[in-house]
Amino acid sequence: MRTKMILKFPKAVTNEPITYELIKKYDLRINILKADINFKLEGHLIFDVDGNSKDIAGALEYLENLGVEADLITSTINIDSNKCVSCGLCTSACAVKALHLNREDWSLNYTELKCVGCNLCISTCPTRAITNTVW
Amino acid sequence: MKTYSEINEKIKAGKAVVVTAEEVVEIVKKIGKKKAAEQIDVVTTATFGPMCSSGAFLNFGHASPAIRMESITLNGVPASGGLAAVDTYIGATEESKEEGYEYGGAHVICDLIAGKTIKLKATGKGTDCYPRKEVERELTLEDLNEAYIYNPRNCYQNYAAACNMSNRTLYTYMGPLLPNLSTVTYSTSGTLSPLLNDPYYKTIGVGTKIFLAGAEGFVAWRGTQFNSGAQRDENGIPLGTGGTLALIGDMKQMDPNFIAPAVYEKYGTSLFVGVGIPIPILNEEMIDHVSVGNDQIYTNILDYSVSDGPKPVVKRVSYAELQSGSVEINNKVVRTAPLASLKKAREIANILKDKIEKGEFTITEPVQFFDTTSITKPMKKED
Ligand code: SF4
Ligand code: SF4
Repeated sequence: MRTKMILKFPKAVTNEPITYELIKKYDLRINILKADINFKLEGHLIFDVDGNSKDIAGALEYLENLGVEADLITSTINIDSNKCVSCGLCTSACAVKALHLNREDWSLNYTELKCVGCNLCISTCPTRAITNTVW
Repeated sequence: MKTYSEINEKIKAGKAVVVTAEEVVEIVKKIGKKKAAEQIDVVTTATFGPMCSSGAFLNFGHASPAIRMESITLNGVPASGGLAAVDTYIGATEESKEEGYEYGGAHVICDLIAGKTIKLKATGKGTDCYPRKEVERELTLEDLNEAYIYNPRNCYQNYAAACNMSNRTLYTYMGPLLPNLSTVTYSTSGTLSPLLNDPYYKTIGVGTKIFLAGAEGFVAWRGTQFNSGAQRDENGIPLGTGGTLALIGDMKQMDPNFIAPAVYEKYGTSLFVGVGIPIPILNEEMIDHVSVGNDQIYTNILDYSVSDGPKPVVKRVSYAELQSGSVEINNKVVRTAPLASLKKAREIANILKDKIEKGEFTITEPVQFFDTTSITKPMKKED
């Protein structure tokens, strides 16, 4: 399965080689979408993860035992369908084509799996229909 | 040949044949121009795009004691104090003093239409007839006497697409333009667009009744920067910008689904306005015009990184190409993205079609026609 994983970890574990372990032990194909350590030395990591569901479950348990808050998320953005007017301008920002216009009815389509969380669409959207749901 | 009143009689009897400007292209391909001109009475056109040249006239009624409002804000957005005591014009692009372009005149207008409460604050110097110097009120649209949208310019006949050849992102009214020719943005509803279906303004003129954001509105005047004398192609379509329309309509009848504030990053506020215009098929010539398809409508892609003087034309493309999602420029496949919502435009064209079919919306003969010789001048040079 392919999904996104968000990790929030306290100061104590910022030295732990988490990514290495996830790849090595749980055989996950990992793509780091966002990595961030704040001034309190608390870390945030968002991965795009590909692996079998048993390994992903194992990885979640491993993280929990380390004291890391780990959650699976499908998307880092949300599109408010009440605000969206289907203008399509956000598709100009989306290099990976996660956002695209249906050429039949010209509605906006969003493919969560393709999204790499770059956030470029957020400031591009003129109706401010797109928000970041994670950070 | 049909007359306005003949068509209106059919509309009132519920017998008018009405199709959208998209549908007519296919119909003409099937049955030919002659038959189509005989059978079709009205073609509906529509657009839903951002138009900066928008705003609204509002009248608040007099307070007691009365004030001559000279400095006015609505939800913190400045409105004109240059009209009579309690009249104002709020421009769509005017920005909030606190929130900047994230909340502008367009938001005030749409909040009013949505029935929300807005805050009026005004001051005046105080006169013998208007002694009051300050007023503050929470108001809704219902509390106003008159509230009507007046668009000095809308419905551009044709508009160039935008790209960016430089190596930095440009923030423009055509949206953020990514560097190194990464995207092309364009703003049109193409074959549905009103003035592309009546390129010589044979049926659209002063007094034409239209759909304006859900209300029955009117073409008030020619729009600003009316460039009807532009060079045209064999279908009569201006090669660059052509005619424009000034529109008017009652905010109290408007529907928030067809008007929305727009914010363009590091550019400012604008207003999406939904417009629908019926075109009566008076004769075969009108069928010629309405049957032009997206593959026959061309526009230029301009390089917006050149800001002084005319922007260079990078490529001339058809709307069919723009709408396909990508165009090829200098051997590079560049993705295209619209600014105007074709989905909304279609919805409007269909609503208008429905209203005419049901006899709820009749067509009007213009009381004055537009010329085809006007040229928009640049600003006068410094002496
Ligand atoms: S830019 Fe915003 S309003 Fe336009 S299609 Fe995308 S999400 Fe919808
Ligand atoms: S966040 Fe980036 S990748 Fe995801 S939809 Fe928006 S532009 Fe596309």
